[in-house]
Amino acid sequence: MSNDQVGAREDDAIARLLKDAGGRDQPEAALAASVRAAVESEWRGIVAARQRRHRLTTWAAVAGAAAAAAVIWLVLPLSGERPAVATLVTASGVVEYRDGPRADWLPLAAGTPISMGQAIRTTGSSLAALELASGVELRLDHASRLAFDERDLASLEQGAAYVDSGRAPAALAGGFALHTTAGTVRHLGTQYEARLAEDRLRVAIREGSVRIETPGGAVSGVAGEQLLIDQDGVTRSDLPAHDPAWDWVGAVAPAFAIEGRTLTEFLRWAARETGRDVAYASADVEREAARIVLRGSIEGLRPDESIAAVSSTTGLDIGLDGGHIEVRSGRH
Amino acid sequence: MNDDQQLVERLLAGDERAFSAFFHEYFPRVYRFALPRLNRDVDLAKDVVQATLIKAMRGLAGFRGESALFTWLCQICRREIVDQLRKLRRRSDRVVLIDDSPEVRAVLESIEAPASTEPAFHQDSAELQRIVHAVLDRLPARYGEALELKYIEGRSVEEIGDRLGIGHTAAQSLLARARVAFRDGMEAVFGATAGDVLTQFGA
Repeated sequence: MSNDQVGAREDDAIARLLKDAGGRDQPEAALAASVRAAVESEWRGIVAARQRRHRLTTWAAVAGAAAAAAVIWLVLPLSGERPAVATLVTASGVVEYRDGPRADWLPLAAGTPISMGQAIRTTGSSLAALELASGVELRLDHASRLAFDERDLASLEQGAAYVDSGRAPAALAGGFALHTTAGTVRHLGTQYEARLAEDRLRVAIREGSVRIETPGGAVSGVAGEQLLIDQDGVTRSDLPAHDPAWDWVGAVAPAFAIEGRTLTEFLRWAARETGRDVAYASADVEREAARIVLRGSIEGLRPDESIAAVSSTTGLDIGLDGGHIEVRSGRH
Repeated sequence: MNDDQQLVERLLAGDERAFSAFFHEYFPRVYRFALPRLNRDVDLAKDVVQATLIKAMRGLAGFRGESALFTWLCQICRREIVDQLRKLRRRSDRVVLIDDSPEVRAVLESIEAPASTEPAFHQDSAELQRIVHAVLDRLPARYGEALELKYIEGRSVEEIGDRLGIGHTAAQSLLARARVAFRDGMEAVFGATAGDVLTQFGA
């Protein structure tokens, strides 16, 4: 048999193998579109974060060169010799910064990086949401002041700060500590609030756990607890993750971009922002939620308001019930 | 830098066309990888593949090109399948497929480079079908498409060219390369020619 004949026989065998095996499974177009929307959204977020980090690095380099000139140093809001440690993501009302303890307070616009050694403050009517270089989210309540002492250390000088390390890469998020006159708070993958009132520090833990290093020794707290720390010691009490005391945190939550995201993803975000878990009435409802792709925007709505807004567009019945976001079939 | 690394670099740079190419090339293949391992539960497969690709996006910067991109995605997908089944407490339902065996997996993952060993497998026709599909999924996506269009849908070379957006000559060349790659892949898995495989399975 010639080589050509062998080749032809082999090609026939390949054709038969393929024909006998039949076509491969093809995912449905709607399923592919839904997965693509979710993956694309994640990809865009990752690219944006990388570009933001790159801009910060570039900006720091440019500012570093400019800082050599004293005149420029005086007019620039940030000192170029110090690395950017955070960015103001959103602000409700006027948020200000200053470049050192004796400098004047100046307005700070959303999107502006903040350098090590600078401090920011909110007024009696404003709130701020920041993202640290490590990805840890930090929010400031009304009349609060925070100084960025080091890359992973900030000092709460007045008011209250909320820390959420849940969306930050674990390797980076773990090192952040919040210093106060009453103690230094370190976290383990968590959401917590530290509030200064008179000479007392109140630490409320919404998720995970924290360790507080006080002059009297280290204490730990877990989700659902709040610790009042003063010169007499530590007093513990309960504070559910969905307690109204957390409401200010939602009022300055950066908006979740729902366009192209599934209802499941939105509910996961809303649950985290409202301190609740998601309770699906059945596996079918849970699958339905994963299939629903959202359109539009919830910009300007608080997380609890956005749940109601999204619910009205999905055909499912979604409502708050204590510590749960209940999701039921729309037929109920 | 190989093609996979270039694609990853473009993805990290925010190249829209790279994302489309990535999704078009890998989503169906990862889906087909997951589906039979999840008792053909389409909803579960969707969740697993979505989680796999999202984790892949998060880990892109760590992809070093030491294995093929598809192999890397399959590794993530395997972990995701185990996690999902554990969550659903359905470990006992898990389907173990022939290409989950270390020997076959190693051969499938090295299809682009000829295998050094020549294992012989004695399986039924359903397993043969799975292996044929697994080999198609390990080939470049256009090779698999061209072979399916030609031998399963019975399309002419002209129609294949139209479908893939290439000319007649390019389509002929693509088909020839695809046949060689498929034959090499089958031989790597079975240690025998396609004709011998057919004989062995009584097809």
